[in-house]
Amino acid sequence: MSVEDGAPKRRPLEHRAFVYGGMDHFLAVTEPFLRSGLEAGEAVVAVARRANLSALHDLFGDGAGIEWVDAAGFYRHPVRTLRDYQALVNDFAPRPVCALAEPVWTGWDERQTLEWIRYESLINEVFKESGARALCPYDSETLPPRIVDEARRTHPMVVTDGPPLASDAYVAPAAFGANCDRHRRFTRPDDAEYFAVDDADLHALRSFVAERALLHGLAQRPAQNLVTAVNEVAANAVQHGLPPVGMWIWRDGPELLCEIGDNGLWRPAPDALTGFIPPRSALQRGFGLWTVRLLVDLVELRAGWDGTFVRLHIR
Amino acid sequence: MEPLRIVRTDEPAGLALIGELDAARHAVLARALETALAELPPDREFHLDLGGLDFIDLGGIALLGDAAWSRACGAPVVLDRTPPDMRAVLETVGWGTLPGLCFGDPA
Repeated sequence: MSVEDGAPKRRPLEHRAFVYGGMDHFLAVTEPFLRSGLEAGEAVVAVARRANLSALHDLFGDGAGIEWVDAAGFYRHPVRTLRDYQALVNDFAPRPVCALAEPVWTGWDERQTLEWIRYESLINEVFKESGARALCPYDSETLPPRIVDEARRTHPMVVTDGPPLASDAYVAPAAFGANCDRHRRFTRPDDAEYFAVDDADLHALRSFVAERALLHGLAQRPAQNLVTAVNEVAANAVQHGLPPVGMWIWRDGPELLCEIGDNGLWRPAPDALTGFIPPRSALQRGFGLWTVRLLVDLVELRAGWDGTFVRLHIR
Repeated sequence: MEPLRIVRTDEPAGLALIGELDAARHAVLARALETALAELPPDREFHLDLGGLDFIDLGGIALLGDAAWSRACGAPVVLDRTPPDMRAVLETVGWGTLPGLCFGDPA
């Protein structure tokens, strides 16, 4: 790392998609990538699907100084994965991180898939000043073409056979997220229950949510996460919004949904990045909404002419 | 709802929190933390007994994080007897945004 004026100079993030076909192709690019990280003294992490991980591990062996991580355990919840990468970057600082980062694209429904695509885009924003290098393998032989197409929109550079090329299709994270949000629908079923939040004491609201979570069959941990998330959003609505403040709650298949609404206008209006950027500490602005995103499966914000609405999904 | 009670403890030095902690009690807790921390040498651990706490909101967690942060390079703020539900929430938040805070005696 070059040092000028006594301060370490941070490179911008290098975030590349690697579109490959077959194991030989996979190894031909990922092996030199990891080796270059080791040679540069970077903190080298390999997160990949099991077959790819063990093939790489066979090449390098134990004691190479690479941290091996099974993608199946690492990619479970997009915002928590951002949190975990952030923790890696912080733990290794000032050493920059060199990460092979192969997401998991199986086992998700349509909306979860969209959130993982958004996650790939968010990496560009969250880690833009981290100095990290990330190579994200996309298996063109088994992944749906749409997933590979999206990778060209969420990575500024793409590697296939030759040298890395700038991706013509790349879209910056704020615009990309806004496009993800364009297809959201905010309908509410007629039989959604409504709970009016009349005063600043949120105890009754918490008890009500805990009871409904139990009825829905949520396990203890997600139930407590939901109660904590609802409390946070409602407290914000009481503090910053305009009455009436209230919550709708309903079930949608395996999901339990809570939507907290008030009559206020959220200004400055939230954008597609709001609550997705990890705060440095709990004292920083944005800690509340970031943490709400960690606690539940999905958070959707709507700041409209008719008020501010925050919808939480959990299962 | 059982309003938050805050009790000074001597061995180990710190506070015990009992009841529910939400935005209505942030100011009271912030003052109690400040007073108790001011009297404790920076090299001594500060313990919070959460065994009697029924709920903590994110603002409350941030206050505990603030207390740990305010000790800078001093000894950590230790959370004792953290109920399992609350432990799960704290683990989801992650220690990355709560430097200087850690679990002590289990529940």
